[in-house]
Amino acid sequence: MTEVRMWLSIVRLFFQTIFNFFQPSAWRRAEIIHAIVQSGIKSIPIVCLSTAFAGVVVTQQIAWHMDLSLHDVSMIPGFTGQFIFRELGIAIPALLLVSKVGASITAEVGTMKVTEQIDALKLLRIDPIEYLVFPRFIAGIVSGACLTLLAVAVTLSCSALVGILGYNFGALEFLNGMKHFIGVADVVCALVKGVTFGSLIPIVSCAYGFHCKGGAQGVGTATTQAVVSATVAIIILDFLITYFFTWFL
Amino acid sequence: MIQFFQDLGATSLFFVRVVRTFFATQGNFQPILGQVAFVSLRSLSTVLFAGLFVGAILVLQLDLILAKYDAELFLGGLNTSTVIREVGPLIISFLLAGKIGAFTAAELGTMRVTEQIDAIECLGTNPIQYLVVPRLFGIMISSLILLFIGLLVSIGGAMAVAWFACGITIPEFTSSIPKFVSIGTFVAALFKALVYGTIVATVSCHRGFIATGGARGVGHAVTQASIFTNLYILFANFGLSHMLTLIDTLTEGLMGGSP
Amino acid sequence: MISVKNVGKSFHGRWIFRNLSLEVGRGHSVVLIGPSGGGKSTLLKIIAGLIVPDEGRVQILSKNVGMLFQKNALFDSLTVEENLLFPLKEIKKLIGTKAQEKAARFLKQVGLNGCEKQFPDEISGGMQKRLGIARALIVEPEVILYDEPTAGLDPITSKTIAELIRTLMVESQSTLLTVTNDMQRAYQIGDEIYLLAQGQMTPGGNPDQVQATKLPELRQFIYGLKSGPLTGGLV
Repeated sequence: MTEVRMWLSIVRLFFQTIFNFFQPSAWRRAEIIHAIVQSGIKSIPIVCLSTAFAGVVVTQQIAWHMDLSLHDVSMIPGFTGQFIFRELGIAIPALLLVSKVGASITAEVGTMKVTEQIDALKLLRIDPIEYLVFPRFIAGIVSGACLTLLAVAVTLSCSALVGILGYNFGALEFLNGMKHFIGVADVVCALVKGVTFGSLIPIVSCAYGFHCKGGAQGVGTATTQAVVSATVAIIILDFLITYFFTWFL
Repeated sequence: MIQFFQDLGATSLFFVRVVRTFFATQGNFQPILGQVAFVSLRSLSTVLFAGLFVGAILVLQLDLILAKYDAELFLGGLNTSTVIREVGPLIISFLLAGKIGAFTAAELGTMRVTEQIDAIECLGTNPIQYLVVPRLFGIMISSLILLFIGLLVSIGGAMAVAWFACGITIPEFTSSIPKFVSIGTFVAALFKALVYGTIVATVSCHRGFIATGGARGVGHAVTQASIFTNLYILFANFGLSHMLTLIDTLTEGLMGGSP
Repeated sequence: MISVKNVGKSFHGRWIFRNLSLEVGRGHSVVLIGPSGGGKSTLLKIIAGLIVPDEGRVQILSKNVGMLFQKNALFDSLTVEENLLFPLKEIKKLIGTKAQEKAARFLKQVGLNGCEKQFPDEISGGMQKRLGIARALIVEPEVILYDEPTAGLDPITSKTIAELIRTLMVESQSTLLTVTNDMQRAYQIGDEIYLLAQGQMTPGGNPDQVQATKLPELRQFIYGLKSGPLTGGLV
């Protein structure tokens, strides 16, 4: 019951945030840049590192499976390229961003809530949604799109590296093999997912931060719940978007 | 970079300290079992939910690709194999990190900043033995139970989606499974889950145990715990996948192997 | 200046208070005392407009309200100086050297000059309180609400802070409403003292009258007597 109410308030917060698009006072340049640095630029190393490892592992796994089932590894480029572009290069960074960006937003907003800083903002006639949520939401959209593309690029390059070094593909041959199987719809699908996940994380995290109650323990609990809810929401949305795009791919 | 290795070292030392405390105190299993029940029950709904959807996503994606090669025959085997080998252990441990890891870091962190851990020490009780040992071993054991449940659900979900969305019947789905999966694969997955569970448990207990400074400190501990857990898991995944594939190939060679 | 009429607030179906009324005249200082959990802070937040009352009406004859929060609510990601510059920018639209000069003047007034570049969690509790006061006052509010301004401070610091509050009030000719449980500070800050206990507001008069009061509940509260009309609601 409480979870249903929480999701309703998340949806309400989403629309309240969207509403700020039309308010010129909401476009605080300094805050938006700060949020982009915090959620986007500072996540670049961890996203690159983890997707690089994931790219290597998944290419070897796919190669191993193909060898077993088709006794043929010539399909590796197309297969890995598609899999990375559609799922792996998007889901891994999204789940990482939940734990890195989402958790820290909830912790930050929750701390502000329990130490009455949000009340202090209201008393200064500043709308907390406009001041705290909106910049993070914009940053989430921007970094969601950029980090997804970056992650896909890193994963693909690592996958290509495995193909070239481990399975004697030529660099051009590998790229051509990939190109053959990846279309515009794939890029659109990747961007849609990246933007959806990127904008979902700050909304869910801020909602849990605003509902935070009672000192240090409250902040800890809210952070935990935010991470879990955002993870589950991402997995479900991933399924829905994938299902939607199956009609176009 | 140096900071990274310092963190890794501190966490490893913490793990050694907890295990030593466990053996030094001759282990009391009652609280560990309590923790296993708590962790498993608490995560059950999330694992069921996520497992189902992950299986469904994977089968949709694989079907899209396999259809292009006219190799839909292999859908069941490929899906089951990927779920058991890679996706299952990874997703379960990510969820465990989010749900239980963050919770444990927050719980221990709150106890630390509100001086409850100091109070326990004052009573002459070892806080590691009293607080950390049950949580650490509890999470490790639960990760195995949850993996088992997660794999079942996600393969079940995959079958259902394959049937409804891709037009592949359940016998068709299961017939190709033995080609890719053996008992060894399953044991390997359990081993992976155990390693990831250990990472989740150690990092979150450690981060909570060393938290400082009020509500902000607890928030920081939780955030750090979830980032580092996921990062270490991805590193471990890299190492383990190599090792396990090697073992798989070797044992198959020795046993004569399946076709 | 502040007028509260028949205000009531409930949490989870339980009324904390109902039918509360309070008037604070322009340039006056009213202190609200009472047992913890009795709704003093809630009333203060209702007056500040941070909580919406379930019934009744609150009217303030000024849009410019400053508040010192119980836990100071300093912005912990901003430095001491930035904590003062931020409200100036947001409310007074004042930026640049003018704002900095003003911030420096206020920091000096509360004795915090020299700490401009430090962060709130790097300075002592008393200094945080003083910074909180400076932040509440920097927008030159006509009405100032103080929530437990001396809680958790040592007697000497409390006395200094209470003196500071009184001096600044006289200087800026503002209207004050203070919540506190520290009787010494209540006498020091207040022109009038009210007791809020068990959902009832009891006027106690000026500090001299309060000290000589015959009202049983007020006497019980001031001297911490165990027997008397106040029972439940004491947490």
